[in-house]
Amino acid sequence: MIFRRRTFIISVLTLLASVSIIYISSHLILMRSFADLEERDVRANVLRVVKALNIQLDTISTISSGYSMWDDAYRFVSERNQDFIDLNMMDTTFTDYQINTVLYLTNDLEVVFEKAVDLNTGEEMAFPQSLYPFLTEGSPVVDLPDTESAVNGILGLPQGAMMLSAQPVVTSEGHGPINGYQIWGRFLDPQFFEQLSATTDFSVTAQRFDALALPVDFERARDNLRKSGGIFTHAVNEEIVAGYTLVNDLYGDPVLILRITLPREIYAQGEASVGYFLIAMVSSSVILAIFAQSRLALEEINLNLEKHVEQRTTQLSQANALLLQEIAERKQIEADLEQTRDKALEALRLKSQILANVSHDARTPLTTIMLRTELLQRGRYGPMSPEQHQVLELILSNAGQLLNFVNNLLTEAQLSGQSIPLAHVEFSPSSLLDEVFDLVVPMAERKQLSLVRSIDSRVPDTLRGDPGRLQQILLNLLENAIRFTERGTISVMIERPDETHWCIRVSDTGRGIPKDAQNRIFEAFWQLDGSITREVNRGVGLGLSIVRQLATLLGGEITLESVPGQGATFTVTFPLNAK
Amino acid sequence: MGRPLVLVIEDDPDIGSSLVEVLAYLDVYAEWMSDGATAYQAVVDKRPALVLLDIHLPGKSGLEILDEIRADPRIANTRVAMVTADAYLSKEIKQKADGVLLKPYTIDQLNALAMHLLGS
Repeated sequence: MIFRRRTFIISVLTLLASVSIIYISSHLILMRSFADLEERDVRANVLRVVKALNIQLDTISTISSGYSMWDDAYRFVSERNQDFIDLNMMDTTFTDYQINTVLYLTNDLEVVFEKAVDLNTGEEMAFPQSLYPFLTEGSPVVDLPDTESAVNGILGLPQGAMMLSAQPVVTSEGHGPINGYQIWGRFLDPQFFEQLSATTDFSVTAQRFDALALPVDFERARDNLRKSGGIFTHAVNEEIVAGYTLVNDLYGDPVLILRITLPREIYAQGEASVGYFLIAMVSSSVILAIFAQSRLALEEINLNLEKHVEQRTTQLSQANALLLQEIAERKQIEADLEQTRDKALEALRLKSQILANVSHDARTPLTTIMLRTELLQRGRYGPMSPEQHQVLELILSNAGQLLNFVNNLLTEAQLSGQSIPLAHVEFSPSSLLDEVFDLVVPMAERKQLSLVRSIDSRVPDTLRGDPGRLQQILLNLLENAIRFTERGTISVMIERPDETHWCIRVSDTGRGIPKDAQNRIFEAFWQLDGSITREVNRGVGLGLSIVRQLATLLGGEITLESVPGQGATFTVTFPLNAK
Repeated sequence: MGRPLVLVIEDDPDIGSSLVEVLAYLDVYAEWMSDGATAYQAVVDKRPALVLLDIHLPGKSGLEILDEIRADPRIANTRVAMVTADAYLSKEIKQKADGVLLKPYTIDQLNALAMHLLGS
């Protein structure tokens, strides 16, 4: 927007400047032409007025010749008869012919008749005496050598310039000898020039060339004309132009400054033309400016559009870049997660592997320990005292517990990896009890606990399932019961709570489990005292966790009933047609 | 033919010797060898009634030996029990073998297996 406004101002200023320059130069050129034209027109009109003046002079000459070439006048000069004067030189003759003075002279230049009439009043006035000095021998006024000669011209008299026509008085036929001279005169007074103006349609005025004080324009014209003569033109103001010229007398000296004024039509026309030109210029400039402005606006719109498009494109590519970055980040996160998952899986696999190795490496020496101990116990190396036998029993029992621990570790690893293999075979519940009892009886005996067992008669002799896992469940429940019971009885019962289920029930007379701990005891590595164990042997807290997980895996369910101080009962229930 | 032979292939000398002694205690004639590489040939030569075969062996694994035995028509019917501390045994191995004994085991467990496989 700022760009647009600035550009607009610059273009407008440029246009204004060019219009001004064109206007000024055109004004100069055009107006000079018009001024020339005007000057030529003024000159022509000045010449026309001069011509009209001459025509006036000719008219006087012609009319007056009618009187000078006339027998009556011829006779009058000689006889001086009054009737001629009375009949012909009336005041009306003067006014009719618009002349001021009539003069008759003899050949000797003696005045025969003289009369002057004021044309304004139409009455006779005093004859201008100043004319006489020009009526002497040798004066050009009376230089009329023959009958056909005539002198027409202007004289500068003190009263004013006078146009006069001097002619010899001859007979009506124009024959001589010349009998005197007749001079008609007309003052070139304001009235004369008014008449001249009326006939020429110009405003014609005149001032005496020898006047002491003149209007300013006449003064300038006089100076100018005095130097170079001819015609001087001068614009008075915007409306009027004036043309000046000198009018010479009979002696050839300037006597009048003639001035015509006329309206400056040409100049006005020129002004108007320049005005129209200016209007045309300005109009076309404005149109041009509007056009340029439109183009500028269009260009700017295009530019803005391009900018906008560019901006949007940039934004889009930025958004795209962000999106790509986000995608890359997400991919990275996914990759990281995948890596983390892989690492976790690898760690899990490694844990299982380590536990399997631990299990394997523990089992190998246990094999020797147990076989050799049994051989000892069975008297393979000689008879055993009851005390020795008891010690060997203790060793075997502890080996069994260690084995159970190793098994629990392995099972925990298998459960974490969800890769526990299950058997699905027939087994005898009685045998199951036998095998577990072999391991736990010595433990119970050492704590002087009685260990009782029973199998509900409704329980089938053969069940299907994973006897190894069931043995593990039972062993863990019994080990747990023996561990937390100080005195009393631990009983194991295999029962059939309904038609479709069988269960293992292990009861003890131990310290019992508080209500708030009853759910938590099934969590791995949790012990009743609430501490997370650091030991990795007895009381690691794996037993009940594994029991529950295995029970679930075998399609069973474990429940606990306990009254603190009165013991606890764990019941694991399985469907009869177990998997 | 005299008493049936039980061939023990076990690289751990403590277990090997213990096992032979337990079998002697059980009145079973047993021979023990610890090299996997010569085990197959020993089976061919001695024609035992039962082979107690460990899995992790130097020279050749117990599984390879089992395959060799099963592949040789002369001895393919030999009873073979895998005796191992490896708790993870594949179903395939369990199917190929006639019995499995997980270490550690009791004398009674060993006796039950041996009696079962020796058919007495």
